[in-house]
Amino acid sequence: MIELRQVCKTFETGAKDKSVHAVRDVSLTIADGEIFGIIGFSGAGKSTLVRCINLLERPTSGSVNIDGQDLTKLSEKELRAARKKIGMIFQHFNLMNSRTVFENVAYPLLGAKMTREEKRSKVMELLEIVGLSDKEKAYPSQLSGGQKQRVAIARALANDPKVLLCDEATSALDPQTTEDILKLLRELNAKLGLTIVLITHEMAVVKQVCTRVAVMENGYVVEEGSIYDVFSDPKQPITRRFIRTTTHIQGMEDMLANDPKALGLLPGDVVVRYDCSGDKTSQASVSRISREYGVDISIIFGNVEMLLGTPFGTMIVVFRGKDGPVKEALAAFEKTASRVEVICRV
Amino acid sequence: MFEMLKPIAPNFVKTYPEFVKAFFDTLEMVGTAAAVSALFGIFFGVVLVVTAPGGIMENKWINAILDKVINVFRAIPFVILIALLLPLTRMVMGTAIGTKGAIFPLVVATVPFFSRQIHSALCEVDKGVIEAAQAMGSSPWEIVFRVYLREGLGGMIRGATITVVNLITLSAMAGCVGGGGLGDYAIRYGFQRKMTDVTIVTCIVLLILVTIIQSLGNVLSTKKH
Repeated sequence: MIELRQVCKTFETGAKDKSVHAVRDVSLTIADGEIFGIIGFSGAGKSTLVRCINLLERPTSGSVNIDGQDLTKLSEKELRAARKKIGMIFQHFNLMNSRTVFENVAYPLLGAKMTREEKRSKVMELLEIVGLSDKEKAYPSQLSGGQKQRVAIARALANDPKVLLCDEATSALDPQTTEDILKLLRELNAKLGLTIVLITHEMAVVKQVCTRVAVMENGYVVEEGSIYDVFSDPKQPITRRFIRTTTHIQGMEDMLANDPKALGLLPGDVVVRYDCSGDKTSQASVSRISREYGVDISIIFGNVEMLLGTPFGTMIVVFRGKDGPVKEALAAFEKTASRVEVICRV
Repeated sequence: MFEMLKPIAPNFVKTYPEFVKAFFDTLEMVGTAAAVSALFGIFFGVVLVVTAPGGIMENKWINAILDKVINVFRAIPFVILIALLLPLTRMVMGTAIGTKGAIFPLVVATVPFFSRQIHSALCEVDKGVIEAAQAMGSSPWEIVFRVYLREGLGGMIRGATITVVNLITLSAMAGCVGGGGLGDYAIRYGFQRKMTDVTIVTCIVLLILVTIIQSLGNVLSTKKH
């Protein structure tokens, strides 16, 4: 279990009153076996925060507990031993170009009390897991980005860590490769019970693998919760912005704001956003309410996401009819949804 | 071959035994000075990198002092350095003249130069790789030997090549103070006795020497390490 308590990290830039507060008063608890996402725009402090977990950045104040051990209180030597049990992968892979794939994966085992054969079988086992058994003699420069990240993952797992920190691990990869790497991370999580902390600026990444997520802005964690809760009911404006980037709903809302006529809307129409979770059957309620209240309801946008195996739907619908019935229909509509938001009245 | 050279370079043929001795003197001076400078240069270069701000063994004072000392020594012209070092050379080497007397000032002049070459080669090592090694629990010394000196090897060899070529140039200058070697040979016969053929042959020999060293350096530095 990883526990961050009131972690702050301030960088002194030298100039007076010009210190940079990269991380401010962050307290997080990450349970064993979780895939925990930390999302934020660049400069939000998420990279600094993840570096505070293995003390690559020493927090200015606060404590970092991993399995009850406060890393900030360890000696340099004890810290190095603790770090061997915390794997880390990076955006730019950070492999050693002068070493082959095999030697890169074997690096963390240098100096370990293992025979040459034991090391060899360990490295080959790791390469097998990441699907690169045939590349042991290749140099990093001969590999694609996705393959490099696989080597980096194998290297990070060499000392059988319980935790894997991923610092923008998929940000330099194309969408297909990103998906493959995320799939591998999910497998490792399931197979080895690995706790994964994943830093990213892409909501799509969080959506695909994380069980819980924290949203960072200006060094603060502004929102935190299960992926389902955060997606279905975002509290902070920044969280909504992130979610919009993955649902295409942003484009629809822009269209509504700029050119409602193009969508064939008439004066008096009410445009409503409707969110619902898996067990509620949205289609049936649309036609039922339409009939009951004598109101035309048309769906102009629809999207369904799978979050931790539960479907989550978003629709934009237009109510057309007399003021009174529309009001009543809206009230009835609200009862069937997780959330209903009137976007605009034309 | 000698008969063939006689009409075009008569003086060179006449002084051939001197040339051979001078050639090996140059090799001795350059070889010894290079070996000693390599040790100190790598050491100081590494110290400069690891003690730099944000380095793995950050130390403001050591870094600032070493940086300044290197600059001071690099600013002194070699001919003046030889004169300045005379008493010290006599103390360390037992003599201030001849090949032996030239080696000490050569080392003093080359160490700062090579330290800078090592420094810039090691600065090229990806900071991310250093960070990865730290994250894997490597100690600072392990990072020096297993990461810096390995990842930076190509750049270090390129720096060493430049340094050795530079050493050959300096060793010729050591001839001015009775240092021996090819520079001394070319000045005594080629310049002072106006035996132009001696100067030309010496130049060609030095050119070949430099070319060989540079090619060797190029091959070694581009090899996969």
